[in-house]
Amino acid sequence: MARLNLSPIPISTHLRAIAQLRWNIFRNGFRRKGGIGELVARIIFLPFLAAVALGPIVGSGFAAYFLTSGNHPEYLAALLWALFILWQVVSINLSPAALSFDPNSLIRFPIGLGRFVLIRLTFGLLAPSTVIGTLSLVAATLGIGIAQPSLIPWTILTLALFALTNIFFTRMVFAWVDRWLSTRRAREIFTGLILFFSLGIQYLNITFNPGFSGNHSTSARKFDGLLRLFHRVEPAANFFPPGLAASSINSAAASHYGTAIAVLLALGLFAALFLGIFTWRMSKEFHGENLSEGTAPPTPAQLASAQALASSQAPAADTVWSLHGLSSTVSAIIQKEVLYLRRSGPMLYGLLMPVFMVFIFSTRASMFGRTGTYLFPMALAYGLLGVAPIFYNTLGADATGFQFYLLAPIRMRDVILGKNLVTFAILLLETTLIAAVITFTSPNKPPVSLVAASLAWALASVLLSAAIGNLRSLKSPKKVSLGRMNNQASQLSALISLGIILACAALGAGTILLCNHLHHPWLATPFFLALAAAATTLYLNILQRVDTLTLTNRELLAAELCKA
Amino acid sequence: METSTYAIRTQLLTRTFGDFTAVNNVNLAVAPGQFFGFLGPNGAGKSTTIKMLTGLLAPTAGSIEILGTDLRSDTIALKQHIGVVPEGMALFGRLTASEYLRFVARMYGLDPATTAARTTELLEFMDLAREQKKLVTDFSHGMQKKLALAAAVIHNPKILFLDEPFEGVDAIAAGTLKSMLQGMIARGATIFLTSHVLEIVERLCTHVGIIANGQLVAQGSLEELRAGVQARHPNAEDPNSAATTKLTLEQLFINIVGGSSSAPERELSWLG
Repeated sequence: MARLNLSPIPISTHLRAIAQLRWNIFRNGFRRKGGIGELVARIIFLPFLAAVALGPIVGSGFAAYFLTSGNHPEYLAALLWALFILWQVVSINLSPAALSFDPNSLIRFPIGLGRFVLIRLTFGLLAPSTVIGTLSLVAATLGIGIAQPSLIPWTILTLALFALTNIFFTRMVFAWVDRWLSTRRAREIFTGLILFFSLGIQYLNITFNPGFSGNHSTSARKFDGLLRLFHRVEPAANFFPPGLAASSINSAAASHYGTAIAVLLALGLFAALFLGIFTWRMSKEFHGENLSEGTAPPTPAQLASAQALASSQAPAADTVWSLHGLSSTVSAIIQKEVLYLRRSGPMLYGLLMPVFMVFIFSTRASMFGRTGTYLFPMALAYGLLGVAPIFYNTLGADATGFQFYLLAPIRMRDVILGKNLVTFAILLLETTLIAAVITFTSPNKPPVSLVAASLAWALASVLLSAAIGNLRSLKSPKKVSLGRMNNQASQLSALISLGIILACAALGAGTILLCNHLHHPWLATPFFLALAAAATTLYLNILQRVDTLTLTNRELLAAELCKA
Repeated sequence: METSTYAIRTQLLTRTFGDFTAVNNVNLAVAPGQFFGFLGPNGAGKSTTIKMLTGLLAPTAGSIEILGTDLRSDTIALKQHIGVVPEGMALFGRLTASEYLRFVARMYGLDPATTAARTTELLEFMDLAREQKKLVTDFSHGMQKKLALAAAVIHNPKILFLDEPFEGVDAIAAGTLKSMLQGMIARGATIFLTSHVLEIVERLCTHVGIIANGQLVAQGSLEELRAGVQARHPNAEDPNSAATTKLTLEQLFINIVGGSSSAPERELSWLG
């Protein structure tokens, strides 16, 4: 037998290889098709994304400074709790750039469990949550340090340990979530819970954010209520990492170093606990546990039950849609799109959100005394803003299925028409729901002339969006996963979609205000109807060209939509 | 649809990608009822050819006739007679198997009763009937392959294009598929198949085309190919010897494409 006395591979070699791999994945993420347009769109979006990230970072610094210098150290725990929650929320909503491989495949290399755990931990270091969370803690350290320079060393030590605790906690949670969500069904249920959580956050934002109410006394009352709630849970919350970190800093500030050290050790125990549970999970994966749909073969009982179900639910019993006035192809596409919609949590969320938001705004009508009349057109524009992007990547969810459209004896025009009709129906439903919500909840009912003008405006905007969206769908497709959020269209298409709706909204608002100013509010409706007629002509013209466009772009479409 | 001597015919079919010529002046001729195996090394141009034959890719030059009709002249009518299992299988991941088959059947214009009957029959035939609730995306690769094949035949096509149909399919399922394909041939259909498994091609196909570096280097029945090899190497084998007539497809393939099945000339000296 050959001697197995190869010298061990230094850990630095593995870490360098992993760092190189991570860098290559990050760098290759920029190698996307789309040319200058996509690049420009990214550059335009960058400040918005930076603002989203900078908000909590700058806010943490200032909050820490004011709490420390203003003698309100008791609220430092609230700040750290807020950062802890933000860390988790960002982890859920902004996952790191999708890896093109399963990190568990690394176990085939000659690495031990310790090194595997370390590698899995380092993979998450560039995640947006870690970057934003860590920078927020750095800002908080600076804030505390500027307010009370003597606290700098202890704050650095404490918040560094707090950052590690957060990283271990997030990784631990996600490792277990991966385990629990290894089936698609579980993932869908989890997505549903996240969506409800997000809706709840929106509710709290509108309820407690003074910027939405304009009525500071009401908001202050609600804020006081929130503070009372915080004080009630504070004793228990102090035993968890954010509370412990705050307590350690406050004890050091009061020169109670014994307490500060004890509390810091408790925080360290939490970090060790989270790391331990993470390592336990990793050890299972390291020893070959396979997380996939096919891990457990069906038991004989499950097989028998499935066979019984199959025989009792023969496909012949399934309904085949045949919609009046529409061809078989269009009907089939509509049926397929509805099935897809039903199975996509993020898409359903995108459709529900505007109605939910309108409901919240409308039920707080007292806050909108000045804008109540215009709530309906504003709500329509908001709803359209959410749904219009669907037009801009109408083939994205079909992925490899797109090839079938090229192989089947059908016209792409019918496929696109079917897809558009589903989106039109969604918009119609959303408009009806918005109108119903406003009718039943808002004290300020919009005048009939405004409703008519708004509907005519919406018709023109929808048709224009559909026309341009169909063009972009065929010229700049993007494969999307219906199970994921925020991946609906290319950056340039998203920018065009936003630009068109905003331009339409500006035109609509200007026209309506002008007509009101001229005391001829009804004039807006025929004007928008004329625009709708022009948009219809454009839409039909592009629809007629869909087959030619598909043939011209079929290689681009197949390359993007059928990629692995 | 015209009647033609050929089910599939290409003339000077060429496809370039920038400076690279993937398919170069290929003249294919497949008669109706043939089980045609299209072979070639990796990157030889097999998938590019099949994509052009099925309308997924536009040729740079040359013509394609399917069932005697120019592919560009009446594409939609032609597609009604063609079934395809393409490289990526063209499945819709968020549908169940029966939903997918019903969708495909409707796109091929089948009436609801036929759609339902064939869907049931195909799902049972492919042993997919017990997976009623599972989405296609959750299927194993082999199950997806079987579903793709079921979808390709649901409209009873005259020509079936199969790109690596047996890849990832277990032996039992492969046997079922082979008997189904042979049944189609017996009833007059034409099958155009690419595969790297030469034993399967040898057992199933009556005719073979071999492409290398984008060029069609051989075409004909296995006997014709053997005769061609013998003609090219008259000294290597005695044309009348039993050994020559029993050249396997693998030996023919390597001989024609220009490789070697044994005693590799190049070695990795550090390996093993």
